[in-house]
Amino acid sequence: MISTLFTCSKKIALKCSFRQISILNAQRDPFAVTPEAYITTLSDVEENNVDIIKLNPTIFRTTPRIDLLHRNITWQQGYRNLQLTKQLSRAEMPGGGKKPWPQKKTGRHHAGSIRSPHFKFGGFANGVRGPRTWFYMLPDSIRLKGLCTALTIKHAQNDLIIADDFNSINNNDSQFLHDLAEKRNWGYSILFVDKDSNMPTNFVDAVQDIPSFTAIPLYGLNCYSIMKHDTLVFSKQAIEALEEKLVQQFTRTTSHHKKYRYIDYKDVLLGEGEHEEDPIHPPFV
Amino acid sequence: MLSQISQLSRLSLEPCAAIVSITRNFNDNSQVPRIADDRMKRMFKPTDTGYYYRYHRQGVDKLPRINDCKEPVSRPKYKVRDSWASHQARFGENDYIDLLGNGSVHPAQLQYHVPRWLRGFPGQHRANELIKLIHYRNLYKEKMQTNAPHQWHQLCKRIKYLLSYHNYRKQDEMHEERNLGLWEEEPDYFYKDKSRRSYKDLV
Repeated sequence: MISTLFTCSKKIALKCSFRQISILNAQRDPFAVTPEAYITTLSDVEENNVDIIKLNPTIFRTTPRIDLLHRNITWQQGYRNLQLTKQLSRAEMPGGGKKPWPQKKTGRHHAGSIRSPHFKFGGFANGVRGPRTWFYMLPDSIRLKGLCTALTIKHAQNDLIIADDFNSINNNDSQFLHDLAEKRNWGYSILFVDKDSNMPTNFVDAVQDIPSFTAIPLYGLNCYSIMKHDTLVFSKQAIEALEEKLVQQFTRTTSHHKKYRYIDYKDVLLGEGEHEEDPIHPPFV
Repeated sequence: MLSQISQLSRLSLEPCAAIVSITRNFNDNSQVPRIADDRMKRMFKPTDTGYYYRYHRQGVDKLPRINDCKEPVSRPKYKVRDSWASHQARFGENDYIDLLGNGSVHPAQLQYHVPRWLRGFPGQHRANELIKLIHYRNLYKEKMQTNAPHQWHQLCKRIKYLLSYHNYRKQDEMHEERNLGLWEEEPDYFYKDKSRRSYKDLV
């Protein structure tokens, strides 16, 4: 009795990460297929598959919601736009307080001010006004689904590669990396995703010289980059951390459809920008 | 019987055109199209634009043109974009940092190119120019009154104009201000001047 208890507790202690638990749960479903991926080494130009790991089907084998992916990409393209043009109205133009000529008896049209929109140097009636943004936030559920869709698409089309570690690149030669990608048929543009922003020096040197190869940390992952680059190369740590993070987000207790409210972030946002402004004069618009 | 026949004979064969008219009040200058407008205009709209949609066919059609017209079509100049320059290659990075990262940073905090008072502020499609200016005024009122009085004057004029514009002319468009997330949605019903308290206070 005690020995079985002991073995049970041992088993539980071994597989206690979110990721492992979610994969075990998925395997219980008789209709779900667990997607799998090879783990390769980057030490040689030749393809060298070292291992196989199971991936979470909720992330890498969801129903591809292309409409949500489209919404995500449109959001990414639009929410940061800023327009700084300002067209002055007739009140803001210099001058224009006096009636230029009397109302009647001159043959000219009725004019109240020299800066009316009818006039040559007059103000704009319904012009573009001031710094303008198109900022909005998508709900978390849609963003998560968009990410999962993008990853599913990459995996299904054989564009998802998992490397064991980016340390395994021996030299800092970008030609080596280029040949490697050529040999393995990885595509023109590759997105390397590492767990942290601290990446091995050799790897960073090699990737820097090639414009179409981008290296980002895990928190920089996004739908637009996934779809822009032909291939995704994750490190093993990165993919485990990604699954862990996403499963945590799926199972979190706070709402996934929470509306974005400016008041929640107002203090933080205004506080962060305080040092940018002149202490005496307000920002010019 | 006779009265019924006479009533029947009085029925005309013309279709009765019912024009619903609304009594206009003094301050009802809204530019929203009203039912009292010309009904015929709405019923007979021109349908032939000279363009036909090519459904389920390959290729892109040229835009409709007048036959044998040699005038060049005005288009904005072609911009050369380098897809793989560092700024373009990393477009969209950190947009999901609140989901994939620590949870301490929100993408609204990463808008370094946007002026401070507009960071994370809802865009024009939800927050009017009026709301934007009122927000700016709330932040910089004292600074402007002491250091930039001309700017303050122009801002006040613009806000006053926009207020009258929206209140007199866009009444139909005002129902979403409380949903913007700029202030609490439920008003404080029990607000009262707490400087003079009495035994009748609830708290």
